[in-house]
Amino acid sequence: MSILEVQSASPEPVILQRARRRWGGSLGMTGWIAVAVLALLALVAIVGPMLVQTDPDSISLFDSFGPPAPGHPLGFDGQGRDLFARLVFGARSSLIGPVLVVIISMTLGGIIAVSAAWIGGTYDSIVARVIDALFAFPGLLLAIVAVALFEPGLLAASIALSIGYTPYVARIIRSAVLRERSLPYVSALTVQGLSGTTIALRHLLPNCSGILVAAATLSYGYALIDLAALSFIGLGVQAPQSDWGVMVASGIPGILAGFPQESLYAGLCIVIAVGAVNLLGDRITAIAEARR
Amino acid sequence: MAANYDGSVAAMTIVRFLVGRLIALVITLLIASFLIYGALFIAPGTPLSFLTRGRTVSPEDLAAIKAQYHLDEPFIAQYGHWLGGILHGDFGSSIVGKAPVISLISGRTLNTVALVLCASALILAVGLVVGVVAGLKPGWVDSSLMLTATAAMAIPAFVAAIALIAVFAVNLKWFPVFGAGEGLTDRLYHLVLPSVALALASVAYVARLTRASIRSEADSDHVQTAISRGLPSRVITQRHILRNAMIPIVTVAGLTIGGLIAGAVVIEQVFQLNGLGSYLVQAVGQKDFPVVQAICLLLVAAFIVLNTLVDIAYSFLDPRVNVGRQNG
Repeated sequence: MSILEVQSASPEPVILQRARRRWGGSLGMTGWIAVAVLALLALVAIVGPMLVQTDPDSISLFDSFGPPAPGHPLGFDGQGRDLFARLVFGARSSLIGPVLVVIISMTLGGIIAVSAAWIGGTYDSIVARVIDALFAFPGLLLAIVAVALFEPGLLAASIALSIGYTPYVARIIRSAVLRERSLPYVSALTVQGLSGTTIALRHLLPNCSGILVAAATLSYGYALIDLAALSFIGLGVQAPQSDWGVMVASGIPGILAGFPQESLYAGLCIVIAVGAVNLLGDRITAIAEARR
Repeated sequence: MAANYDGSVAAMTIVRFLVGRLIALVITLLIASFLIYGALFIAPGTPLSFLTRGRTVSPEDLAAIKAQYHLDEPFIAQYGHWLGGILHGDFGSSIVGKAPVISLISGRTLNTVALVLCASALILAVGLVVGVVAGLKPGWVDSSLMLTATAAMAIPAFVAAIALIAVFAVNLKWFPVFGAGEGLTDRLYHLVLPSVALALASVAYVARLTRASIRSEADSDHVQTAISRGLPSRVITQRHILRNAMIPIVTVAGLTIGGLIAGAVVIEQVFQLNGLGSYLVQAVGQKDFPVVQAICLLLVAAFIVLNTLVDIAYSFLDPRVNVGRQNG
């Protein structure tokens, strides 16, 4: 059966067919469970705050560390705020902040890496050296400096973290594109008269997509941990606002008083999200490597 | 080629290799220091208003800050003064503490070093043992160990820290909740929970990597040959599998330990260990920028030096990496 036949016989859009050829059901059980967990979390982050009626910030000291009650499935924190509502509202900053980090670092890293791999020569070796030098800055440390320069908050922390991640992303993409570039089809396309930009964008990048998606997934997991850690030490999302990292920190007095729920639930949310992302990232990496 | 290599030539190439690495190290350190100093000029407002923001400053203090940062001179000269001071052990003065930064950080450095060393020891001991056991014992031992490791990798250090405090310090009362302790044994005792929290994810990572490395070595041709020659399995394991499998592990373990330096910032904050990391967070909160610069420079320098050491160790461990020659 030729490729043409498959494409014309199937009612699926071409892009889905391509996705199937690339990812082809090989995610496996664990992979799909991870996808389901992440989809659920994304749903909670996006529509959850609209559905939950309880105000996550309303304080009632009578309910301090109160047990679960009707309408309050997880009970209350030390200030009598509803824990379930705070977890749902906290999902937003906890899960969407890392998306920003992935988008910025993948874009910056992608532009740097593809241009370096394509242009080559002195430019490429300078880029490789600068990437090596930037490896000396752990992303978390860079974010702390940025917060010291500007104001504590999600935006400054996310942007600084993105810059910290860029060299890692750029290194992965650069080596993938370099490997792809040496394949004979690229010379064939050059002979056909396609421009460098077209070849890079239309052929090189799509063919590296497995590695790109794997890198994006894994850096999402790291960004989630680092942003939560920054919020936890008080340099990211600021305190009264609900965020999982903030909640782990604000639950510490509760732990000492024998009521660990707030830290426990928020920590569990982080662990589940990171675990699902890591599982998915591992599966995608395995698929991308098997295809090579 | 190799036959022409006598001892002195080999020694020359090693020296040249080391000198090259040393030059690269110095260049990276210079770039890092330049970026850390230059950060002052990215901040909103003028450097002077940035350094004094949010507090009332007497004219004498203002003059002291101006003099410390040489704010009347051009940028490159300011950077030169700053770097020159650091090379002589002078990190400037804290704006909040009104004391030399070096005296404020020298005592705290020891706490951070102790924490990172304890965590590194845990990573090497537990990570390697778990990985070797899982790699050599396929079956349920392997799969349950790896499942645990995969789960542990998803636990951020600060969440692990909180869980450990809740269980072992508050519930069971086996360990103290906060503080650094007095005297050697008490200090080590206070470091147990922080080190476990800091090391947990890295232990899991090193264990997984060790297992993968052992598996790929066990499947390799030279091991199959050794088996078919009828060598005792103990010899095969020790000489053929473990020795070769260790090469990539050393590199990754070294880099992982470097990564602990940033992680220590968060852990010190949780356990109030009063090390460089918790002081850094405190200085950021108090907008004490000379302290922020000094600590960042120290941490980044430690990270760079460690990476270079790992790089050199790798080149000497793996005889296939030809020291000082391009592409062998």
